[in-house]
Amino acid sequence: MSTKLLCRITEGMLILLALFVVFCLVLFYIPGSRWGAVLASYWEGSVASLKVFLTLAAAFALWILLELFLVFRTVTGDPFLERNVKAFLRMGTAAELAGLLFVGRCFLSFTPMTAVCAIVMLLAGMFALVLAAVFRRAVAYKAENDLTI
Amino acid sequence: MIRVNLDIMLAKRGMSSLELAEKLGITPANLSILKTNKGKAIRFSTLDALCRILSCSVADILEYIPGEEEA
Repeated sequence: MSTKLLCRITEGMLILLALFVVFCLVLFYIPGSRWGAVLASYWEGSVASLKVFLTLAAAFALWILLELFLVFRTVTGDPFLERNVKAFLRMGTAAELAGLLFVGRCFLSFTPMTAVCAIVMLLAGMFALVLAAVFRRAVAYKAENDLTI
Repeated sequence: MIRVNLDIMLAKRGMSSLELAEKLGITPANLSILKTNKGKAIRFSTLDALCRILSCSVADILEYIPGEEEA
C-alpha cells in the first residue's frame, strides 16, 4: 500500500472520528435524549457538571484530531517542519489536559474506565510531547542536511 | 569563521554562477547558498569538483577568518 493511499485512509478515519465525537456531543445536548439519560445515570454529580466535562473532553478530542489531521496532510510531502513540531506540542498539551480532566473526574465520580482513560490520555500526551522533541531534532538535522552543498 | 571566496574565483576565471552550477551538477540556488556563506557544510566531492572546474586550490576557495564565530 502506498504512503499516499495510507495517508488518505488515515485522514478519512480522522474525519469520521471527529464527526463521531460531534455526533455524540450533539446527541447528548438534544433535550430529553435517551443517550443523555444513559450518560447521566453513570454520573454522580449534577447534569451541568456532566455537560461541562463532556464538552471539554470533546473539545480536547477535536483539537487533537485537528492537529493530527494537519500533520498527516504534510506526510506525503515534507513532514519535518517547525509547524509540525508545534502541532505535536499542542497535541501533547491537549492530551495532558484531557488526562487531567479524567483524573479530576476520578475524584468526583470514580469508575475503572475513567481511570483507564486518564492513564491512556496522559500517556498519549507524553508520547506526543516526546514525538515533538524528536521532530525538533529531525527538523534541525534536515536543515543542516539541506545546507550541505 | 570560514569564508567562501567563490565570487572572487568566478570573476578571475570569467565564469558565470549559472555555468558553474551546471558544471558542478548542483542547482543555482544551492550555489547561491554556498556563495553567500549561508551553507552549513561542503562535501569533499563538491570541493573536488570546484577545484577542478576553477583550476585552483582549496585555499583559493575557502578562507579562515580568525576571531569570528560561525553563525
